[in-house]
Amino acid sequence: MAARMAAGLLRGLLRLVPRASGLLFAAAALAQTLPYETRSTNLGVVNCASSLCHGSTSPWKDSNILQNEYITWSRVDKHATRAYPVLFEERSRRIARNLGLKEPAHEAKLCLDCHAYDPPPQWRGERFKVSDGVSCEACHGPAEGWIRSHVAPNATHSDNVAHGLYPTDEPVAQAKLCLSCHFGNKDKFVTHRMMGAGHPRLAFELDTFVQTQPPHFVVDADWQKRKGAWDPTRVWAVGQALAAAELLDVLIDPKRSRDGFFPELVVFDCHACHHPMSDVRWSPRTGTSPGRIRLNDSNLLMLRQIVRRVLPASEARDFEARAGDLQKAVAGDGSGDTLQAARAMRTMLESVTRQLAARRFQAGDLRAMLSGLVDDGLAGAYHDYSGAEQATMAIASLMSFLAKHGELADVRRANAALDYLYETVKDDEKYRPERFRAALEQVARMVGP
Amino acid sequence: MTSDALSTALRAICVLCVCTFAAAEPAPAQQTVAQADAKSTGCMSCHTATDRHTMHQNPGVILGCTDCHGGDAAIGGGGMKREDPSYIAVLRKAHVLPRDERAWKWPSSANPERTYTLLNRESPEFVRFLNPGDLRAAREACGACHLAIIQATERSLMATSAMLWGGAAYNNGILPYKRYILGEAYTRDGLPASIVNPVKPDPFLASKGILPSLTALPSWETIPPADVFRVFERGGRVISSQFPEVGLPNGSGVLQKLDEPGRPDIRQSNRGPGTGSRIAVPAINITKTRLNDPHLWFLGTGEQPGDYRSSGCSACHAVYANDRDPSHSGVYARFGHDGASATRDPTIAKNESGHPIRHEFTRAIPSSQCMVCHMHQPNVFVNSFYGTIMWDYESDAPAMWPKKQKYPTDAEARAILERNPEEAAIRGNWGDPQFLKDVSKLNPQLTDTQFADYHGHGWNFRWVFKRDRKGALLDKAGNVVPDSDPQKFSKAVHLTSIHLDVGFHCVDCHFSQDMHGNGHIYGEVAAAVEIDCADCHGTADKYPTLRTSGPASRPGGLDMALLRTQDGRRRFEWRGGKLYQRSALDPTREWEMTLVKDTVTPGNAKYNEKAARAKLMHSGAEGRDGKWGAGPAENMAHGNDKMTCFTCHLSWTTSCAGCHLPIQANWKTARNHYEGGETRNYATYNPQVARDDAFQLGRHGPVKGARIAPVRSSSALVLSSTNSNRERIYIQQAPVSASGFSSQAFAPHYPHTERKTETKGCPDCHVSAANDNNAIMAQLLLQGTNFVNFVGFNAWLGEERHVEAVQVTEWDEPQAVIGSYLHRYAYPDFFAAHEKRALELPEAHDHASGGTVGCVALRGEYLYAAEGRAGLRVYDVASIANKGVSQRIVTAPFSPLGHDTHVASKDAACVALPTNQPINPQRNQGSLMREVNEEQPFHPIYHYAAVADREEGLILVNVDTLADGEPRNNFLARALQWNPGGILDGASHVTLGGHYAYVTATTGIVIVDLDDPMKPRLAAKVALAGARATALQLRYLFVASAAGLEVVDVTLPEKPRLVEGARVALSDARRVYVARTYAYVAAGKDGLAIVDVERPESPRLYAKYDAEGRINDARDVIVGSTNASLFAYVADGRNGLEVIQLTAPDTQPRFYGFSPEPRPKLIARRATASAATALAKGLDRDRAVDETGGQIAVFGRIGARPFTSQEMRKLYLTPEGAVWTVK
Repeated sequence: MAARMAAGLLRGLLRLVPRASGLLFAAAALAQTLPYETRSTNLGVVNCASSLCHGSTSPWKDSNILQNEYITWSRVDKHATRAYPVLFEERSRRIARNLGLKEPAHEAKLCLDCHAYDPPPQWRGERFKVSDGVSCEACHGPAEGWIRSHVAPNATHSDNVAHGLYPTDEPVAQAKLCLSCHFGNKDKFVTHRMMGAGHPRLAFELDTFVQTQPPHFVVDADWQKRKGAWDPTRVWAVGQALAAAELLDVLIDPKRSRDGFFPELVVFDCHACHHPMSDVRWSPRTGTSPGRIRLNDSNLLMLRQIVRRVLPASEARDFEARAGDLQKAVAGDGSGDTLQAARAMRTMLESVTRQLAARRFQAGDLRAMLSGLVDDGLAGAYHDYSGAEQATMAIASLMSFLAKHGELADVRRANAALDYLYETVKDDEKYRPERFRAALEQVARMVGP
Repeated sequence: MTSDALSTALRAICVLCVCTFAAAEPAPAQQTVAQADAKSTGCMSCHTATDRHTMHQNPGVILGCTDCHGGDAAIGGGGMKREDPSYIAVLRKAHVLPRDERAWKWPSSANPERTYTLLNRESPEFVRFLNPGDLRAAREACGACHLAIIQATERSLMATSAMLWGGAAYNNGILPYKRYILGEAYTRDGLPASIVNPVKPDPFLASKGILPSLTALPSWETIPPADVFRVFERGGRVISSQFPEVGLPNGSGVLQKLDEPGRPDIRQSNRGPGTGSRIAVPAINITKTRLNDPHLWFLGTGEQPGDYRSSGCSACHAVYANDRDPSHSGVYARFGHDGASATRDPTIAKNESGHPIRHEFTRAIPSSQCMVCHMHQPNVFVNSFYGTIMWDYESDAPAMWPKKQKYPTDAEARAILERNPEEAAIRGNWGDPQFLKDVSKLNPQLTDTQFADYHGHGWNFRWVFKRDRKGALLDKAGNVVPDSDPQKFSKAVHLTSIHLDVGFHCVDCHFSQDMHGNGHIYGEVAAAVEIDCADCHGTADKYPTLRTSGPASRPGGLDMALLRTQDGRRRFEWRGGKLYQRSALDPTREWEMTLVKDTVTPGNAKYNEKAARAKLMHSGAEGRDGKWGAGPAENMAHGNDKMTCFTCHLSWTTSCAGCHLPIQANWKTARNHYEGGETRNYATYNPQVARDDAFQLGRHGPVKGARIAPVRSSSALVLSSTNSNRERIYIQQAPVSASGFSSQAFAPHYPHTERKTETKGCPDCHVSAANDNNAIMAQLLLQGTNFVNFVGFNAWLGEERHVEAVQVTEWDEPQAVIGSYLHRYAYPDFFAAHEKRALELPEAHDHASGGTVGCVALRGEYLYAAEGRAGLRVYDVASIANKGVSQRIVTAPFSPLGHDTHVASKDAACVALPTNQPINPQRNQGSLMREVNEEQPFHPIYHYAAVADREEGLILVNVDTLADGEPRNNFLARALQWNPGGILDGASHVTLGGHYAYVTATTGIVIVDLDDPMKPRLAAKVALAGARATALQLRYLFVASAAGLEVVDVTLPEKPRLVEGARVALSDARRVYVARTYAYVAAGKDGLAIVDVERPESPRLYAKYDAEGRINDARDVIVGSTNASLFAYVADGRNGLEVIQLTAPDTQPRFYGFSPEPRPKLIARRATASAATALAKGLDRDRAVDETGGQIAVFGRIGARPFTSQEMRKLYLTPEGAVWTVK
């Protein structure tokens, strides 16, 4: 799967043409009300699914959108095909049972909040169905406000957004939306208890997941005309920043960060604990001593490269220092207070996000970040599985972008190297850092100037 | 204001508004909400509330009132009340007004009754105002978004009705194009239109049944008559009033004005064929008689429950209240069946018929809405889906006919026939709409049947119940429910579709494309369907793909998983290995689909051994040995590629064994299509025998994979014509199809009576081990059972010195047999008079014969008689019911110099025709028939009549010229005489079974193979002393002999076998007639002997009937059906014709069975001109093919046909010719 995905990326993204974009205001995006929080009626998939709207079986030639969005979503998007149906499976029933839920998984709010679109009952229209899974309005927001205006002649994207359409084209808003389930937020959050009950670990990288969803849109000239430049690197970068921020929010939140006697374990690297005792996994990379539980710092590891390239040198150094402080504080290896370290990092992330959201990434940025990731990896920074996983997705994305810019010498061989890299992270249970590093060496040869 | 002043003012306003009406712009694809609202302001000042503002449930549809309807939204009533004097003036300004306010009952907005072509005569603006969904207006109202679907719909069969017109034209010989060319379509202005397929069909598309174009139907007056029925003019001065419908203003008399007497008029008028009294009757039915129509281009007729709907898009998408049964109307049942509205709109009257329930479009369309058009029993299958069939006028007759006989005036008759084309309604209680709408309330007190609650077209429909072959009601477990049980109808299984039972409506299987078409023009419904059983149920080896795979499906099929119900749910969903479907109508309902693969997989919870055995039965020798089990699909006997699922999974099929279409001159009526207008001819439409007990198979056309499929009798017609002098210039004549095959049509079809338990089993299609299904097999293979044969107005007799026609039924409808059960209820006065006459039939016509008539056969307008020493004589009987003709049976219609149908022979004992259905083998020739229409050729035996001569043996006479419409070439002569070595000496009787002739001769039964008719071959001989006559039913030849009734096994005609011990002793068996499981023997002084031959090898005397000694010289017998009852006609040498009712609702409550036990009762008689010796068999109504595979009757669907001889034999014979059986 992963290999196919990477290969597809390189092929599929060749048509992306970045253009200058208007500046985004991350703060506004961060304040964006998420669809499920919006006090407006959700009308249901059927209104969108009409063959004359978004349910055409084939794309229209003369439309600025594909018009077959419903078909794509319905057939191949896991938001439709898996998210809700999976709740009927034995594993889901078991999780619900183990958690002591009163309802079966497909009726429990705890599950439906992410496995479907579960707005409060008063905001469900006559044809809205929770059973559609993560349906149109889960991302685009309740349609009541904008369904009439979005079909008006010369309707613009900003009109639609003004009427309540969720701005999924804005990286920060998009990241916030996706992460609300793929990591969790204040309202819905996959805790270690849920994992213990059987829920699988979450893996997410915004840009990769957008590309493999697969997108039910094509970023072409008219898309960019309506919505501004699309910079997938920026999406990736902002995704990393917000994911890191979400994790820190958990740490900072006195309720979510603790679970009884123990801290909320989900914020730590799973494999720091989950391995046989004979398998000693410590590496000195975070500056913490053996036997310490490591924070899941995979997003921070990615950000490290991004920040180095994007932020002024002083800020980048600052970031590095705060990241180190945080790891040590969490591990208890330093003098710092964990909460303080987390808050400091969190504050910094706001600035980082703002800067990333405004950044127009150039090929040079990509190459530099890619080299940084590879170098970090060769230096053993991705000794933990979660870091390796993020790095792999990031490397694949960045290589795709480079390929698309015509800056990758041998796309075919690069793909083969990526396939090999993906192979090493395919199964978190079987992850071996040394194999990953070996694979990375092959990638390194592909990205040389 | 005085009223005068008011009206002047109104007129002024009106003039003004007519002037200012600008055609409204088409509704835009996009607009702002504000723009749309501006188009509703004035409207909503009176229509202050509505159900769905835009009709669409989707709020993304932005429309104002005038976008769809036109009219003037600037005009408002501003809270004005209806009573306000200026209300109507404002209304006139705001609304678009009709050209014909009276016809529309303006200002009522309800659809008036029977508008038909009124829409074509209205302004397009008014049509759009009335119903924006009308196809004349839909491009403007709906086209901005739905243009493609409008175009597809216009080309779809729902709109063109091409299958009806094409079928009627082809089957009745009007047009020779089986790839139909006629269809209904109009322009925006209501002018007749041709429609052209968007792409010219290449050979591949043509193979899918796609047509290049359809054109408008010419007016019926200008269509040449298809049939060859002759009309004999009086001669003398041509009466121009004979041709009223063309009104030729022939004042100057420049054309011929004198006719010689008695000349067969092949022109019919001085304007040529197709004018005058002789026209193509089915064409007048299409244009004037309400059958299936009106269809999509017109509004529903809006008179009776089941008739309420709009036209075009709204015909289906706007629901009307038509039926109170929730299984038919679903969630709409609560709105009643009177077509009244429940809208929130305060301006719409709620107690008025002809409004939709709501101002709302829906895809949740109840089947009761489909039924408004899909009403007609023989052609369309919502009825069978409901488990109902057309009522036959007989069951529960006491409740349905008035106590006192009705003598309707012309005006009363017209008023009823406008609504309901069946003429019986003018005499029955159900002609009264108030009685009709509550017929179903009679159910609790009824004893014979139960009625449905919808009555579109004014018709009644009865429930079909599970019965055994004898007609006993059966419950779920198959136990007999006693006829006397007051709860019998709730205990017996009502044979609805299993789909109906779980909650289906039509739209649960037939999705958007099946309704709107795929954009191509089709002529056959079966070709235009995209859904197939396997799409949802899978097959024995594959789970369903949820992709449509029917003939009209797009490449790869429609992805059914994407479909959603109106209420927003996914229609289909797999959950835990189970497939669920959500009801299109009921938001709370879903059902689990049966997956065929599960039912045949041992160990699966759904495993069903009977199903597995049927589906996995191996083909070939293994299957004959009963071996079954999983394996490659191609090794299965009943694989999906070989036969359709519904071949077995049907519980019953509808069989319409005939309709009578009598055209009458001087009955001025409107044309219901195209240009409308009135002309002075009309034909009613009268179902004769609609049965639910015939199961028949044939081969479907290539478009359906040429698979084995159920076949129904489909609209076999007989035509009559009464001219302006009320002379019946021809009566009850069956036309000949364009292919020359008989018009007693058949068609493979999908019966929509699927069930799980009441399906077909092994002995329904294969010989049973008990050998008790010979009649079932004969029916199955379409060879006919001589049960539903049509005797008609006259019974035809041969006598010692005459041939004679005796009138045995009423002429009026229902054409009840005089003295019968139905006669008693439909015509109580006439029945009483009949009893008073001591059952004597009053009307008969005869002609002297040349000698004792041994056999007599009627085909079309000719009566064939074997007259002993006088040889074969073919009488012209065309004028048998024409009061203007003094000698109604003639040897030649004019001078014998121009016509001689006598063939001399030494001692003609009997004549047999290969079929008594009118045929014309000469039409079935050429590349149009063979290649384009994919018709089979006739077997050469069909050119001939076979005569058995006691001295000369077998004589064949080519009789083709009698069917060619040319009156000047009818000179019959023997084509062959054959009696080598005197083998046929003493030949007394001949039966033709395909190309085998079974001749009773002195030495016994001689079987002659006439595969090459000019080179006969002795196939076999059966020594059987005293053989007198025979009757054939599939594998058995029943012989009336000096010893009684004997049986010969002719499974292989070359190897016949006299069945030892199969003999019923009778002292004087003369002739035998086998109808299903009973042999009727004319037993001389013993009267009528009825022998149970259900097990042909063990015949059993069931009864002897002599009507208390009144039948004491029975020489011949025939059996036929009239309505629901069975009758025997006996030729009694001493007493003449005797009519015996064999079953009737009061004597045999099981009369709906396949072969109920007869309860003979003499009901009528006629002393004949001389001793009656022979009877002509009634028209075969269930025989499409002969015993050797020769096709007789026309088959609908390109390439469809009855089984060949080899295909028939595969069902019961090994390749070596041994019979194999099933349990």
